[in-house]
Amino acid sequence: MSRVLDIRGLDAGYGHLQVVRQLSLHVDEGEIVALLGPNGAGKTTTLLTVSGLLAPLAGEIDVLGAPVGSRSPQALARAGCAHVPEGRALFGGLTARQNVALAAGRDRPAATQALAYFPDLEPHLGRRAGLLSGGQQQMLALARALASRPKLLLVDEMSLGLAPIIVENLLPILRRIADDTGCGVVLVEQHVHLALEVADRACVLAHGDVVAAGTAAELRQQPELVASGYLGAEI
Amino acid sequence: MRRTERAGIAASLALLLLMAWAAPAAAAAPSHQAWAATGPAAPPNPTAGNLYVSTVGGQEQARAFVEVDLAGRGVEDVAAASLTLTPGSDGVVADQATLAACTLAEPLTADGKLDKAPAVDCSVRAPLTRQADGTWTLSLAPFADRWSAGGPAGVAIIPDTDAGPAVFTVSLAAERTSFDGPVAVTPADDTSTSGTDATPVAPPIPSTESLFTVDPAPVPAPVPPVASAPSHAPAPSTITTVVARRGGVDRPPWIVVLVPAAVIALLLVGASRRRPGGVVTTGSSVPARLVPWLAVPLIVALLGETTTYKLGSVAIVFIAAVGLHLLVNWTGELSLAHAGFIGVPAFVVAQFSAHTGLTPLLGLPLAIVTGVALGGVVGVAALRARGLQVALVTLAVGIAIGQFLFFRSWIVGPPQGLLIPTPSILGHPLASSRALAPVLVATIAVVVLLTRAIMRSTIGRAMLMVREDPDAAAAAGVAVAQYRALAYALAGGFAGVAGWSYVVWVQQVTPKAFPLQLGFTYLVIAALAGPGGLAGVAVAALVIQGGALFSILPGRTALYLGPVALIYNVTRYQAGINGLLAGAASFLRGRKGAPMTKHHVLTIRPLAVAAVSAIVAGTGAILLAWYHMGNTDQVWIQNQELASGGLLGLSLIMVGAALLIRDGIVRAAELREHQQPEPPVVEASTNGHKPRMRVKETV
Amino acid sequence: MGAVVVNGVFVGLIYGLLAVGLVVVYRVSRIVNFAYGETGMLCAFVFFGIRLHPTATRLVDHGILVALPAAMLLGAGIGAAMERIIARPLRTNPVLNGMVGTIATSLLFITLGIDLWGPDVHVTKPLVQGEGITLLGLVVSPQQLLIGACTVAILVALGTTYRFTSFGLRLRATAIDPYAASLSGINTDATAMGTWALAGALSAVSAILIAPLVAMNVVFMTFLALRSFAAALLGGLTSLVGAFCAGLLLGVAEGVITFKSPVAGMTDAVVAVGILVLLVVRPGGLVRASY
Repeated sequence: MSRVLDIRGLDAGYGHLQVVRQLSLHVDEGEIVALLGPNGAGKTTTLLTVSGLLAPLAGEIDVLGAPVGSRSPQALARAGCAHVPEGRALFGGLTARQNVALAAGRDRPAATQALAYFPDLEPHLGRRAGLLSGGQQQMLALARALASRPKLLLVDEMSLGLAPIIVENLLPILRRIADDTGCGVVLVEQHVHLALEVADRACVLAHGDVVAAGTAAELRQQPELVASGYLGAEI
Repeated sequence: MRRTERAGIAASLALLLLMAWAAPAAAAAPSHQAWAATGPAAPPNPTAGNLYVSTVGGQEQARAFVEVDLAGRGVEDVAAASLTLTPGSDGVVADQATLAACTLAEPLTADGKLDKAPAVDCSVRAPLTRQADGTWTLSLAPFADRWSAGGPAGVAIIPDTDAGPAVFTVSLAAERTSFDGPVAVTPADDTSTSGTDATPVAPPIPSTESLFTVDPAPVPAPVPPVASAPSHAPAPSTITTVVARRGGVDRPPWIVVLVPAAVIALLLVGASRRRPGGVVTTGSSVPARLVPWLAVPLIVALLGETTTYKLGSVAIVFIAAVGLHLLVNWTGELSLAHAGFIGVPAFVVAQFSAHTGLTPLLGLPLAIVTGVALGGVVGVAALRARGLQVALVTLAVGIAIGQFLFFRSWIVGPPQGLLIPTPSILGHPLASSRALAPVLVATIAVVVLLTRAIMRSTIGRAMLMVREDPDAAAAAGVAVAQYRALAYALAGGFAGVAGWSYVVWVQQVTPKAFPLQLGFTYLVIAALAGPGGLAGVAVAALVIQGGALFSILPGRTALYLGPVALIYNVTRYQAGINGLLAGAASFLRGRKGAPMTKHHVLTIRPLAVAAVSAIVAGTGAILLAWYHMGNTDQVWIQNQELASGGLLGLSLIMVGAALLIRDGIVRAAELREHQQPEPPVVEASTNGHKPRMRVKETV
Repeated sequence: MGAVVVNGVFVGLIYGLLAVGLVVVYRVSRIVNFAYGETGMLCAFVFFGIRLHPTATRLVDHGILVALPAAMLLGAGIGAAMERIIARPLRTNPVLNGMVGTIATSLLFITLGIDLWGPDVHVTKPLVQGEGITLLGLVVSPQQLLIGACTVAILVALGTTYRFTSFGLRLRATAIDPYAASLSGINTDATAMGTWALAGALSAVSAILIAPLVAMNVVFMTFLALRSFAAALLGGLTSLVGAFCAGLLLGVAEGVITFKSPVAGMTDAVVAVGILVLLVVRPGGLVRASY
């Protein structure tokens, strides 16, 4: 099992504002690691730094064995790191099929295989992405990420704005994707319970520091660990 | 406004008025100059400010006119005098040309209007002699009798094709036309006029300074071609006037000593302090606030008429740029119609003054109202549209004004320009730039104080919020659209004041005086100034307009350097000259880092002070050298100035820079040792990809 | 009147082409390229320099086969350089600074042009000779026909590229959202540079086409481009079709207005008033882009 993502001692932030302190995290092939924590904990910042959208202040990040360095987001995307951001970043004016085709590029089969995970999207492939419902857009965003055959998938708050029933359907798909393709997933989530059901390991961030980490099973059995991260109580 | 500032302004104005009123009678001098195309092959691309005499195939194509104001001198004085004409840059075979001068048979400006070439009488005629350095001299002896008998005093310069080649074009730089002879009045000596003997009392004073000024050429403004719109070929004007004004040669000696001494003393005492909000002002201590205002009479006292005139043009540009600065750097909007905002009020004032005969000074309210109205119209469009659309709208408005309004003769007057009556206060005419200087200084004072008041008030804060984040501002209850419209109206208002000042200062407006490209220049000045206070605007105006007028850099270099510097500024640096000033100020106070901190320790490091003084002195030496070089056409003097002032200044600057670098190294070492509690200055570069977490713009 | 309209149509085609170039660049960088006309001007001068003054340019073959690619390459090069130097650093704050930067560039180009070729009108040769044809009783000169043909060809090529090729898809995606595009693995830098280069070549072609019909001096494109800004604005700055049609309309309107009213500058006044009214009534422009 090789490491698709290895973060060591990451300090990250925006200008003078440091948001993440000394974070260390690793993801292996086929693993789903949930990154939990309240708003402002630094979860999104971490993902941005991994996918090259933000330069780290200190520390090292290795994606697929090679350091991120100053590589551009598109270089990392082409190397196999797919980022599904908060807000999904879809091309509203293009059709769903075109959105996926863009990410697949020359690799046409990849698009088809990606869409196979989301049969609910099938009837809507010809519609403009901006006209899809929230759940459909999220599926599309995932499909698009998948179409680039990623080895590392970063998913940021995919449940935002979605009804719980949809989230319940989507998360297991993630599990299947990780199992089938062997890609590692970092899942930033607010729905702690649902996330822990599909994740292998989890890590709780609060104010930029890791306050709890362990396997998903451990954290499920000790909910107070997670709660303290959200509510700020001493463990 | 503090009491000290008021005192400073008042003192400054008083000194200026004193100098103006103390001016002795003006010297005899060339007054009006003009040239006329008299054939179909007249020079097709004349440079503004030049006179042309040309012939093609033996047929005269253009002739020049020089009118002389004798100021009541007698025959003997005129007979001993001579006119000297300096060549301009765009002659053709000029060095072999032969020119002659005939006396005018009718005055150049009959009733103040110049609409046809005056008749000449070639029975009184003399040849012009070309000197070794290229200048042409004309002895006035043959004309003395005619002129003192009452004939109009002036000559027409025509090509003398019998004697020389059949094709040539001589171009003459009108501002260098000078009048040499015993009738020139020296500052301390006004008694040489009534002598009856031909020998002059004082030796002839060669001109080292132009005695009068010409319309400044607009910033090189290519006229839009008549290409696909054959509708408006501009009406060819057959007479191009180059209006000159009499210069005063007044320099009351006691002011020359007193004012500089006072200014220098104050400079040494003052210190600079930073205001919260990042706006740099030069000092809150009493003496330092007086300095800028007292420097003005110093400048006017030391420098002659031409330089005062040019500085006044820079000041007018500053006034207009202030309005645009508020709009662009404070409110974050754009305007490409600024040339029109300035021009329309200028023409309104000019028409008002030309038709009613009243002094143009009274036209100020008209100008302001017109400017505000124009700005308001654009502001209404700002209410509905988003950023870039408004900019393009201003472009369209600017084009419409330039192509439509400025071609209507009921707005802009006749092609040769409207002649404005001399400005006067309560009947006392202000004929020279020095006399007008108090008016301009008062205007600038009002503009600066008003702008500062705006910047510090709610309006200024609201503008900054609108620029920073319109959505957040709207959420905070700021009426974004109204403030945008207000900003445009303000820009128009200040532009109106600038237009009025232009009319008062230059006393002539031609239809082509405000081309669209001028608006681009103002945008360049605003962009160069950067966010912040008025200091950056002043420096930018000085650099751009002063650079053009004073020809500080060789012309072409400036034209290339300007855009390149601007591109660098907007893409990399983005803080503009205000940023540079703020950086320099904080550097001097020994603190590196974010300028928004309130805590600062005033440590004066002698090395840094010495370094900055050296740089300032060096710059001063260079400027002085340039001033002298620009005001003499004698090459040997120019070389001298270059060697002494220029090189000296350069070496001083290099020494200063070296000291600064050394100081920087020393300080860095100190910092490392003493571990000062500075916040870690970390630059998180984002590779140019900022995460867009906000709602996307719809434009 | 008919001749005026015909002339207006062909001038309008050029306005439309220029407007399309402006919109293409705006979509990808959110910058209005004020140096667009001047880019074309430089290329046109090079083109006619090669064609008409071979000794001056010391080139062996001075036919169109050399001149045209050279001019288009120059245009593409200028466009790419402008993207790299001006547009890329300003990705996060394009509006004011981009405008000032491109204005400065246009001043630079004009100065360069005056230095290299002087301020006078230069001689041009029509690209095609001949009699022209008569269409519905109106005479159309061969140069105008060429303009028409080229415009159609260019638009068709652009349209197909945009709609049907993957390159076009990438262009559209980058134009919609560069952030999402980079996340999708699209090389936004290369796409942006390619777009600017394309627009630059387009500007070159437009200038070469129009030069024989107007007086070609250093500022002949400046004035034309100003009209195109209006056209682009009418198209909401984002719609290619809207911009082109607006340009065409402007050309015809200009012809008609000049014919009907000898007052100088009336067209500009009408355009300005029209834009002001439009902004009050429909701020998004007449046409919305459908991407």
